[in-house]
Amino acid sequence: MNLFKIRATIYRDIREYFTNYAVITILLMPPIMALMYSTPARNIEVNLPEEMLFILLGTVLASVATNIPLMLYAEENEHGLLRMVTHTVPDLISSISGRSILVLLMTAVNTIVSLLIAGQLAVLNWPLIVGLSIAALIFLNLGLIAGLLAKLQSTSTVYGVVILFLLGMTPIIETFFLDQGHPLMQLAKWTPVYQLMAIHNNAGIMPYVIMLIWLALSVFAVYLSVLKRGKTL
Amino acid sequence: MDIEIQNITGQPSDNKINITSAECLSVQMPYERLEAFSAAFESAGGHVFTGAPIYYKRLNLKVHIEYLRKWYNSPLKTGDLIQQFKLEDVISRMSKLNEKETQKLNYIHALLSDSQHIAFIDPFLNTVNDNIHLFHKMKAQLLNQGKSLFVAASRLEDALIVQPGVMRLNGQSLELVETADNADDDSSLNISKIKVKAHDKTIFVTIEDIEYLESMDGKVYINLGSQKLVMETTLQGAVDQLAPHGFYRCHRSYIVNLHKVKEIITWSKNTYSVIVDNPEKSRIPLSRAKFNEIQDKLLKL
Repeated sequence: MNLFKIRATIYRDIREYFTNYAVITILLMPPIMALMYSTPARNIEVNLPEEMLFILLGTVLASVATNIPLMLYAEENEHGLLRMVTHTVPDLISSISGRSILVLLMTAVNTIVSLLIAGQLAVLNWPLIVGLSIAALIFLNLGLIAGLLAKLQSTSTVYGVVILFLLGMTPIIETFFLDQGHPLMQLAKWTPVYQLMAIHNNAGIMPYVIMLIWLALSVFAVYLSVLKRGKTL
Repeated sequence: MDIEIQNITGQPSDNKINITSAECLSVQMPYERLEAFSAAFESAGGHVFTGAPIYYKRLNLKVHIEYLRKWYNSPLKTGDLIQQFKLEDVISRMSKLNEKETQKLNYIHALLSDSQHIAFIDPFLNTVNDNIHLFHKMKAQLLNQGKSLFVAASRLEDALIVQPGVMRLNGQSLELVETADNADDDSSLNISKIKVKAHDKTIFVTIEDIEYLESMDGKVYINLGSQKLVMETTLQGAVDQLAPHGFYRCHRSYIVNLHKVKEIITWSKNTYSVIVDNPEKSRIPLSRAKFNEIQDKLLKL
């Protein structure tokens, strides 16, 4: 890893954020969603339901932490842009590190802004901050894996939407009014956003353990994706 | 840095291309071998630039230069590079710039690159004369930096734009491009047409339509606008035959019709080209020794 290359990637990505309408839209989506969800609740003077709060947090994670690196890498793959400066695996790792740092920073800012708009900043306590940090890494890894392997921007959109709906907006399943024993409900309870809900409800150590398993698996998958992508640099 | 020739040609050979720091090598090789060369050069640790530069279409030239400068931690300054390469528009998105401007990014990138060995593949295809001047500036700077420059060109005339001494890649080794043979032929004066072969036909070509002749792989080719025909003679034979009609041997391997010369361009101290007055503005190599003589001939024409 090379510090200069990490800094250069951050410099370029910041410029890209301001010129890429898709990235701007993704960054604006959670705050707008926060406004849309919180306004009716505020009007009738009730608290935002827990499910809606975590759908919002999941959307921030899946849209910013996953979809931004996914889209940027897919575009670079489609147009061969990675080859501009990235010719070795260490170069690729430097570029991934730079991009990840900026994405994590944008995820943190977007989370705070969205919670602020929704009037829910008070939910942020240390256990949830730790949980959100692990979840951000998991979602970032999902974006890196799909992005590095996507050959076309169009396919990356499909990956992005699938991750957003299945893993980002998982609590939406509660609106289906399924039995708690339903296989879909059982499956949903293993997803990262449900672990955040469990942490919020003081469910002990298990949600962290489950998220760390997710993290370990996703880090391993990123490692494999880097090796695979490195072969075609 | 060494590149095994068998990795480029696919034919068994023990020969290697030796690339040394602060030296320039200009090599003509068949178009179909350029890709293999590019892969071999990169796997040996060099940096390859093709005619089509890679860039982020939404970002501008200034951001690109700054990004590359940061990536390679180069001491060169963005402002100096913008000035040196006469970048006209550094604010607009790259997608809005013409090819002439985007090509300059490759030259700047080569200077900023941390690789010691730089290769350009067919750098003069679809380029303009101003950019060839900039290429020569870049070449001088690269060599000053102690980097090597390897130019692989599919056309001999392009390889000769880089420098007078040009190599050619044959199946098993690199060989110096030799002087066309000097066999004597009887010249015939007062003729208006010459005989050339095209497949199984014999064609009679009006001499004044010929733009230039070139010698390649032991054959003499006549260039007539978009057509290229083989002439059954030696280059010396052709010059003897055509000199009275205003033809001049401007290079060991080229004869140009002086009536079709539009201009002469000096790329660097030792490299010149004659520009032919045709839609492609073909660039014909001009030997340093012939630089003054051709001007005299053009003035007296």
